[in-house]
Amino acid sequence: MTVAIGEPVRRVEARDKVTGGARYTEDVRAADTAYAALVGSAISAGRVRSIDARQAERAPGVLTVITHTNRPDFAAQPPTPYTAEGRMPLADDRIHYAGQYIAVVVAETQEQADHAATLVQADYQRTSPVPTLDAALPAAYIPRQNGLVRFPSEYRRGHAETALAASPVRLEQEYRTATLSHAPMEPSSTLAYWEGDRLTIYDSSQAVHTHRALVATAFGLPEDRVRMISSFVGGGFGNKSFAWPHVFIAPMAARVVRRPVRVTISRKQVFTGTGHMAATVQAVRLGADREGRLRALIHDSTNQTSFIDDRQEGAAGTTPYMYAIPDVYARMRVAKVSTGTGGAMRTPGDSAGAFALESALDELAYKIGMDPVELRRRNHADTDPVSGRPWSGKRLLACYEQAAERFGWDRRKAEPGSMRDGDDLVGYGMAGGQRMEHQSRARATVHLSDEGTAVIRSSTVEIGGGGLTTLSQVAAEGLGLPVGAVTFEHGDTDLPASSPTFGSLTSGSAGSAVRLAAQDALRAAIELAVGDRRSPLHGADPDDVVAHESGLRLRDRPDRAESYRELLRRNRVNSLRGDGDFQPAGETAGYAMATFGAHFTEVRINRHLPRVRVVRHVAAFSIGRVLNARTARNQAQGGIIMRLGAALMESQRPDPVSGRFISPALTDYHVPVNADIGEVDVLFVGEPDTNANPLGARGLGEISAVGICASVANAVYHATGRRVRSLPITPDKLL
Amino acid sequence: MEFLRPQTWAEALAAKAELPGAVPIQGGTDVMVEINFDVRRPPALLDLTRVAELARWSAEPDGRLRVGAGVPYARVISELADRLPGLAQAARTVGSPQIRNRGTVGGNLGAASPAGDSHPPLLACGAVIEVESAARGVRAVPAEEFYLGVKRNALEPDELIKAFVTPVAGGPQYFSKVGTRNAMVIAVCSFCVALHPAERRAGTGIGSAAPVPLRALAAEEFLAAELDWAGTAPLAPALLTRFGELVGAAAAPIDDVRGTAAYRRHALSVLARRTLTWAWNDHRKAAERCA
Ligand SMILES: Cc1cc2nc3c(=O)[nH]c(=O)nc-3n(C[C@H](O)[C@H](O)[C@H](O)COP(=O)(O)OP(=O)(O)OC[C@H]3O[C@@H](n4cnc5c(N)ncnc54)[C@H](O)[C@@H]3O)c2cc1C
Repeated sequence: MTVAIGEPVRRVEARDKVTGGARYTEDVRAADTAYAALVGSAISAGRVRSIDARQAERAPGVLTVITHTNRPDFAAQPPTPYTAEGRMPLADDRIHYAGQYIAVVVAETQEQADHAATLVQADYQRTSPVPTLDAALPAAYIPRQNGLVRFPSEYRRGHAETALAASPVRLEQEYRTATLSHAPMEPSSTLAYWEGDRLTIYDSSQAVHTHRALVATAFGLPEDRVRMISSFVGGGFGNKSFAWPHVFIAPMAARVVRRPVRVTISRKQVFTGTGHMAATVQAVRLGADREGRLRALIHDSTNQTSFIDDRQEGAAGTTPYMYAIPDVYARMRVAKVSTGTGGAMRTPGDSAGAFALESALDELAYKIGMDPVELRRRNHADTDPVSGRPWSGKRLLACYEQAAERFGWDRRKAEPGSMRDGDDLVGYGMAGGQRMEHQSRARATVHLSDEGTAVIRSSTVEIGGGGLTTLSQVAAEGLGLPVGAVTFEHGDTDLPASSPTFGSLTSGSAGSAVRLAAQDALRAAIELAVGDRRSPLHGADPDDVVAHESGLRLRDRPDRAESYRELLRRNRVNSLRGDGDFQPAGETAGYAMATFGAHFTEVRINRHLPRVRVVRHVAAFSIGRVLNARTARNQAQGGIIMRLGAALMESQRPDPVSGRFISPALTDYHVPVNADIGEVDVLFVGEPDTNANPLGARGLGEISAVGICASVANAVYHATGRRVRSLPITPDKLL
Repeated sequence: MEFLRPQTWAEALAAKAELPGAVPIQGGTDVMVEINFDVRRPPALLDLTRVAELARWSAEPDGRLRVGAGVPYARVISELADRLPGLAQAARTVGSPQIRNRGTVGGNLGAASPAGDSHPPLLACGAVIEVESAARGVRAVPAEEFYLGVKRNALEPDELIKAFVTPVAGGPQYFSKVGTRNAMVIAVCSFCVALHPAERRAGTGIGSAAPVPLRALAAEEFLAAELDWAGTAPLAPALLTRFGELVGAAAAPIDDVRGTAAYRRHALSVLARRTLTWAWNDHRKAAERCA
C-alpha cells in the first residue's frame, strides 16, 4: 500500500507559484478587453443628488460611465449572504457607506479608467451617519435576516438567569473586538465576457459553483449558460467567499460595452469593497461553584452591521456547544452603522466569541484560584450539550495535555506578575477553541489513465491552503500511485461541483469526494482485471485485490500483480473514470461534529515600555486525520499568526464622525511582520475520524484561528495583573 | 503630468526655478505613495536621480561630513555607520530592504514628516541642511530651523535640498524607536541622543511626538550641567529619571491611529533613559580605556 496521506508532501503548485507560472485571475487575458474603475462614494450616508460624468466621458479612452441612472437592470437580487450585499450595485441613489460604488468607468486601459474615475463629479445630499458601534448600540436588535443561518440568533437551555443568581461565584464582564480586515495579497479581480447569452467569468472566487448560481440569478440565466473559473486565489481568508458587488459589475459592464471587461479593485477597495470582520461588544456572565463547575453562562454579543444587511457575526454561536453547563443563554444582535456589510473572515463568529468566553473563563480561574487548564477540564463536554449526541473524534483533553506539556505549563507560577526576567514581565496564558464542523455536498471524478497516472477533476479552488496537494495525496493513496502521478483540474464550473473553499470544508467534504472517486476508479480497475483472462488477477475475489505501486495485486499474494499501465493498455482502455459524490449525513449522522484546539502563549512585556511580545505559542488541534503534515502545520501557523495580529495590532478604526475607515490601506492597517513572530509550535493529536466522513479528516483552516486572542490576553494578565478586555492589546492599554 | 530629468545640479535648479510647482523625486518612496493615494497631482515631477553629486558624500576641510541628499539609507548603513552611528541606526529601522535601497535622507527632509527617522539623529548631531536655488545660491539651515510644521520645511519654492553637513560623531550616539510592530513601521515615537564629550554636552532629537521633530533643549541643558564627563561612574537613577521627564515634557504629542499622546510621552521618557544609559556606558568604557 502506498502511504501518501499525512506525508509532508511539498505543494504541487509551489514551483509554478514561485516561478510566475501559476496563472491567477489577474493574469488571464482576453482579446479586446476593456477595463473598469469603480468610483466610491465620498460620503458615508445620504443620497447621490446627481453625478456629472461629462468630463470623465470625454477623457481619453473612455467607453462609458455607468451610474444608477443609466445602468441596465439586473434580473433579480440573488440571495445573501453568498451574495455579499442585499442590494445590487448601483441599485439607486442611496449611500450606505463610504466607498460604496456609485459609478463605473470603462475605458480602453486600466490607467485611462483610473484617471477618468477621478473626473467623475458627484453631488451628494448628506444625512447624518451612524459612525460607530457605540453610537448604534442603543438600537441593537436580533437580526431579521440571520447572517449565515448556521446558528440561531438566540439559544436557551435551562434558566440561565436563575441559575446564575443561585451560583456561589459570579462574574460579569464586557469584551470588545475591533473591526478587522482580511488584507489578502491579491485584490479581487473579475474578467467577464459574453458570447451571445453565454457568460464566461474569471473571478478570484473561493467558490465557483456557489457564485455561479448567484451570477446566473442576477442576469436571469440558467446556470449552465454561465461558466465561472477561479484558477488560483492569492489569499482570501474569507473575503472571496461571498460575491461582492464588483463580481456583478464586470458582466454588467461587459454587456454595456459589448466587450470583455476586467474589474480589479484597488488596494483600498480591498478594505471597503470585500467585507471585514465586524466589531463586537460582548457581555459574558458566568456562574460557578467554588470547585469550578460552571452552572450558568450568558453570552450576549452585538456586532455592527450595515444599513443594507443584518449580517450576524456569530460570536456566541459556538458557546452553547463548548462546555458542560446546564443553563445557557446565548444571544446575538446587530446594530446598524454607516459602514459596509461584514463578510466571513477566518474564523467567522468564533474568533471574536472565543476571545470573550475564554477570557472570562480565565478570569474565573483566577477568581477561584484554580489552574485555567483544570477549570476547562472540569467543564469538559463529553457529549454535545446541545444535541446530546456523542462527539465524533473529540480529543480536546489530549490537546490540553499535549500542548501544556510541550509548552512547559508546569513551570507557570500562579501569581500574576510573579514571573520576571530582568526588565521583562513574563506571562503564560492559555485558551481553548472550538469550531463546529460543517459539511457540504462535494463531487469529484478521478480518471485513471493507461499511463499509470490519474487526473482529479473537481471545482475546488486553491486559495493557498494546500488543498490541491492534500487532495492529490488522497487520490494517490486510494489508487496506489505516487503523488507526482496525480494531476488536478480545478476551479472551474465545467468540472464536477466540489464544496466551496471556505468554512473548512476542503479536507472533510472535498477530500471525501476525491476519496470516493478514487475508490470508484479502483473498483473499475479491479473489475477489469478480475474479468480479464490475461490478467494475473483473473478470477480473483475483487475484495482481495488492492492498489499497490501503480497497479493492483492480491492482498496476500504479492506475486499476483500487474500495473495499471499493462492492464489498461492490454484492454485498450485509455482511462477509467471513478465518480465521487459526498453527501453529508447532516442531522442523521448520530454524531456531533466539531474541531477543537488548545493554545498556550508566552508573552514578554518590558515593564517600562509595555509592548507585548509573543515569544512562544504552542497549539494542539483535534481535527481527525492530518492529510499532510507540512501543509497542515503551515495552515495552522498561518491561522495563529493571523490572530496574533488581531490580538496585538489590527484594528480598522472608524472615523468618529463619518464612520468611514480611517486607514483602509496597508500603510496603517498593520498585520504582523516576520519580526513580530516568535516560535509557533503546532501539534495534532488526531487519529482518523471516520464517523465524520469517509476520509476521516476534519477542517483545520478555521479552528487554527480560534482562541489565540484570549490566550494572549490571558498571558498578558498573568504577566502584568492587568486584564485587557478590548482588542487589540496595544501598549497604551497597559500603561 | 510632466516628467523632468535634469542631468546636472545646475539644470535641476534651473528647472525648479522655472517650474516651482514641480515636485522633486529622489527615491520616490514618499512621492509615489502620495500620488497613488491621490494626495496630490503635481503638474510635473523633477527626477533628481540623474544628478550625480547628490548621490555622493565627502569629508569637508573642517572634518565635517557632507552627505548628498540622494544617498540612500542602504549606503548610510554600509558606508557611514562608523562616522554617523545615530543616523545609521535610524536608517536600519526604516521600512524594508527595498525602501532602504531607494529611500534617502534628502527625501526624508523633503517630506518633513514629524515621524521621519532621520530627523532625531540630525538634530542630536547638530546637522546643517544645505539648500540651494538658482537665484540666491546656497543657504545653510540648521536642522532645528528646518522643520516648520507637519510636513512643512524651510524650503522656498525654487529651492532644492543639496546635502546635509554634520560633524563626525565625537562620542557615542544612540537612536531608538517604538513602532506598532517590529518592522515596516512609521515611528509611534523615536529618540536620539548624541554625546559630544569634547564639548561636554549631549544633543537630543525627538521624533513623532510633536508637529515637528525637535530637540529637548531643557533636557540637553540639564545634562550639560549634571553629567560628570571626567568620571567613569554609572549614571545616577535620579539623573536618568529627570532626563526622561524632561524629554517627555519637551514633546507635544497627539492621539492618532498609531498611538495615544499619553503613551508617546511615557515611551519617550523610557527611550531617553535607555539611549542615554547605553551611550553613557559606552562613554565610560572609552574613558576607562584611555585612563
Ligand atoms: C513601505 C514604506 C516604508 C517606509 N518606512 C519608513 C520608515 O520606517 N521611516 C521613515 O522615516 N520613513 C519611511 N518611509 C518614508 C520614506 O521612505 C522616507 O521618508 C524616505 O526618506 C523618503 O526618501 P525618498 O528618496 O524616497 O524621497 P522621495 O519620495 O523621492 O521624496 C520625498 C519628499 O522629498 C522631496 N525631495 C526629495 N528630494 C529632494 C531634494 N533634493 N530637494 C527638495 N526636495 C526633495 C520630494 O519632493 C518629496 O516631497 C517609508 C515609505 C514606504 C513606502
